[in-house]
Amino acid sequence: MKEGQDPMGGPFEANVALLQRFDPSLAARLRALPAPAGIRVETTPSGFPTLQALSEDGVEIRIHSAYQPLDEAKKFVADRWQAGMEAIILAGMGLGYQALEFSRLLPAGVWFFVVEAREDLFRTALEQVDLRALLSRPRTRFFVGADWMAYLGWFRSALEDSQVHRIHLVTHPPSLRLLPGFYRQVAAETEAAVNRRTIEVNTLVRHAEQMEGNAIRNIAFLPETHGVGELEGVFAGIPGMVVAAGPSLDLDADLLPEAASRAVTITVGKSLRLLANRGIAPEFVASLDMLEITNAVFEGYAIPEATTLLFDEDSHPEIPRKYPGGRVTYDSTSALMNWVSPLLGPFGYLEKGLSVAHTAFFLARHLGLDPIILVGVDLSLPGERTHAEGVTMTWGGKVDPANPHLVEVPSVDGGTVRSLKNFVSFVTAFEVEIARTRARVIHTSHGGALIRGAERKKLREVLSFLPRKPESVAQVLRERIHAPRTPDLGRFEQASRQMLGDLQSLREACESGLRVLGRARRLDRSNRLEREEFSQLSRKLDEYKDLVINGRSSVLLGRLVSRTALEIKELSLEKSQETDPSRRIEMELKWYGMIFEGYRAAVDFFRPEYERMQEELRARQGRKV
Amino acid sequence: MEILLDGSVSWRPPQETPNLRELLLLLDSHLLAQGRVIIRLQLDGGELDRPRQQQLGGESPARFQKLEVESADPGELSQKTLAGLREHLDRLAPLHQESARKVRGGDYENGIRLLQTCFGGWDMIVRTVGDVVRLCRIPMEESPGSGPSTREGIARLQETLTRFRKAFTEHDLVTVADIAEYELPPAVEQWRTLLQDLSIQIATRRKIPPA
Repeated sequence: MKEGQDPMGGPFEANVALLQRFDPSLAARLRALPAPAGIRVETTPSGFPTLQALSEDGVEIRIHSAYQPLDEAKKFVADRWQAGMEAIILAGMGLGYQALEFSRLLPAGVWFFVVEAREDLFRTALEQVDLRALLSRPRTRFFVGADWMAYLGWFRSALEDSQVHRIHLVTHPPSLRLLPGFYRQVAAETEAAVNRRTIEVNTLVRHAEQMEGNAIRNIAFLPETHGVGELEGVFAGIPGMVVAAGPSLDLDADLLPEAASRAVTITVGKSLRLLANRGIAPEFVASLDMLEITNAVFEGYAIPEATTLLFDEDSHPEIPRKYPGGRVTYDSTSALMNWVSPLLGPFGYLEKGLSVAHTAFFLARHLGLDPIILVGVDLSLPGERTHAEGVTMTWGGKVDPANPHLVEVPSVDGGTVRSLKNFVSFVTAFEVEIARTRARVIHTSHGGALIRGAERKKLREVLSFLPRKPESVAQVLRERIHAPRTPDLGRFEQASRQMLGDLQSLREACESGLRVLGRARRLDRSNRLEREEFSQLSRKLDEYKDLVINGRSSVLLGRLVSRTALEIKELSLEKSQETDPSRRIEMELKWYGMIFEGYRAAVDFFRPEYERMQEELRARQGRKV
Repeated sequence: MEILLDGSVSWRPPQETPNLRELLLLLDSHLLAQGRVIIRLQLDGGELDRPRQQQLGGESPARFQKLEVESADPGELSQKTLAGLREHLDRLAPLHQESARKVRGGDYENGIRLLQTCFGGWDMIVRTVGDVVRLCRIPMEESPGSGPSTREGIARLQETLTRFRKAFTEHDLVTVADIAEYELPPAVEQWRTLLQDLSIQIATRRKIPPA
C-alpha cells in the first residue's frame, strides 16, 4: 500500500466521513457536487495520481508533478519550512500532497489553515488521495470555495478561535495559476490580518495600562449613562448619515446642512467641529480614542446641545467627564465590561470595529437607519491632505509621497487611488459588514477607495430622493437619553468589595507561588532527595498557578497581563520544541515566574485605579443627590 | 577582381562569370574538389555573409576589387565543432536540475533565468548539429550509430522543447519543472551519444560526397 492511498479503492467515503465531523455542510456540498469537468486525473510512473485542471483563462495547467508528486510535495514543504511557526495558511491544496506533508511535520500546537478555491478540485482530492491524516489533525481548518465574503467570515472566525498572532502564508503556485484573483486576495487579506493582529497586540501590549485605566475610570460615568440597547431599531427606515473626516468631505461640505436635515447624523469626533461650525447638530458623535490628546476634538467651539456622545470603555475618561450633552455607551466583550454591565447596565452590545467610522456605521445599523449614507469615508489619500479642511486632526496632515505604507487600491470612481495599507483592512471590514447589513448602504466619496457592496452615488444625487427627517427623532432621543437612570449602586459597591477581596487573595497566591519557585530553583535536581522535594514543589506551583489563573476575578486582569500572556505563549512554543529535559524544566520554572509576577503587577495596578474610580463615582452620585 | 584563398593563394575562375553568384558556385566546386569548404568570405574588406550574397549575387565581379576566401577541411571543422558541443552539453546538464529546483522552491526569477539559458543552449545544439550534417553531406535520415537518426533525434528534442516553451508561456510551472527535472537530463545523455556517434561517422568518412 502506498502512502496516501487506500488500497480498497476510492478513499472518498472515508475522507468525507471525517470531514462530516467538523464541517457537515461542506461534506454535504461536496457530496452533491456533480462529477468534475475540466479536471484530468492521471497515474504517474510513481503510482500516485496527479492531475491537470482548466484555469479560468481556459489553459490546462498541471497541479502536481507528472512523475513524482510526493517527492515534489516534500521538496515544496522543505523549501518553505520555517522554525517556530505559530500558524500556517496553505493557499491552494490540489490533491493535498503538500497539505499532507505539512500535517505530517507540523507540531501539534501549530494551527494549519488550508484554503482551496475550487470545490471540484477538493472533491477530486477526496476521491483520489487518502487525506485522513490531514482531516483528523487537530488545529486544522479548511475553507473550500471562492466566495470572498464567505472566506472573510471563515478567516475571521479561524483567527478568533486560534488566537494566533503570526501566520506564515504558503501559496501553492499551480493553484494560484488556476484562480489568481482569489488567491491574491487571500494573500493580501492574510497580510492585512497579520498587520491588524500585530497592531491590536502591539496596542494592547503597549497601552494595556492606559486602556484598562480608562475602562476602570469610565465606570464612574456609567450610572448616568444610557446604553445603545435602549435605542435598538428606534429609527427603523429613517435615512442615516455617517460622517467621517476623509478629504472628500471638503467637496460635500456645502451639502451637509441639507443632508443633516434629512438624515439622522452620526459623526466621528474629528468632524464635529466642521459640522458645528456650519450650524449642524448631529444626533451622535462617536469618540472612542483612548489617549488624552483626543479631547482636542471637543475644544475651541460650542458643542451642539442636542448631540449625544457615544463613548466606550476604552475612551479617555476626560471625554465623558467633560462632555456637556447626553451620553450613550455599549457593552463590549472585555472581561471588565462583562463584569460591570449586569451591575450598572446592561448597555446593549455594539461591535467596535477597526475605526471610529466603523463604530459609527454599527450604531447606524443598530438604530435601524435605512439607507445608511457614508460621507467622507474615503479610506484613501487622493490629494495632498489626509483629512478634510476644518476637521480636528489627531494624526496626518500633508501626505508624504515617500511613505512606505502607501498602496494603490481600486477607486470608487474607477481606476485606482492612493491609500494606506491599514485602510485596506478598513475597506475589507466595511465590505464584510455591508454584506451583513439589511439596510441599503450608499457610498458618496469622491476619489475614495472602492467599498464593494455599497451603492455608489454622489451626495447631491442622494439628497434628491431623501425625505425630510421626522421630528420624532429629536423627541425619541430626548426621552431616552435624558431620562434618569437608577442602577442599584449598593449592589455594585458590594460586588466591588468582593471582587477587590478576590484580587487580594490572588495577589497572595502570587506571592506564595514566587516563594515556592525560589525554593524550587535552589534545589539540586541531580540529588535524589532534592529531586523528590522538587516534584512536591512542582505540584504546589501548579496549585498556585491554578488559583491565580482560574481565580474568580482573575479574568478581569486579562488585558493587564496581555504582555505576560504573549511572552508565555512564545515560551510555551519554544518549550514544546525543546528536547533537552533539563532545559525544559528551566523553561517551566520561568513560565511559573512569569505568571506570578505578571498577575501580581496587574493587581497592583488595578486596585488603586479602581479605588480612585470608586471615589469619583461616589462624589458624582453625591453631587446628583 | 583579385581572389585570395586562405590569405596566400591567388585564384582565377576557369571561365568568365557574369555575376558574383556564379563566381561563388565555381569557387565552391573548386574547393570541394580539394576536399575543403568555404567558411568565410570578405568582399572589399566587408563580411560577405548569406544576406549580402543574396543582395549582391547579380552584380558583376568586375565591380569589386578583392574577394578574400577562408576555407577549411569540413571533417576537421565538424570534429572541432562537435567537441565544442559536447563541452557545451556538459555545462548545460546541471542547469536543468538547478532550474527545476529553483522553480519548485519558489525562486521563480532565478529558475526562469536558468531555464532561458537552457532554451538557448539547446537551440544552439540543434542548429549547429544541423549545420554539421549539412556541411559533411551526411543524410539526416542516416543513423550515425546504433541509435536514432539525426533527424529523429532533433525531432524528439524539438518536441520536448516545444512543450517546454508552451508550458513556460502558459505559466504551467509544474510542467516546466517536470521537463527540466525528468525529461531534459535523459536528453542530455542521448545527445551526448549522438554527438559521439556523429563524430565517429565523420572521422570514418574519407571524402565528403558532392552536393
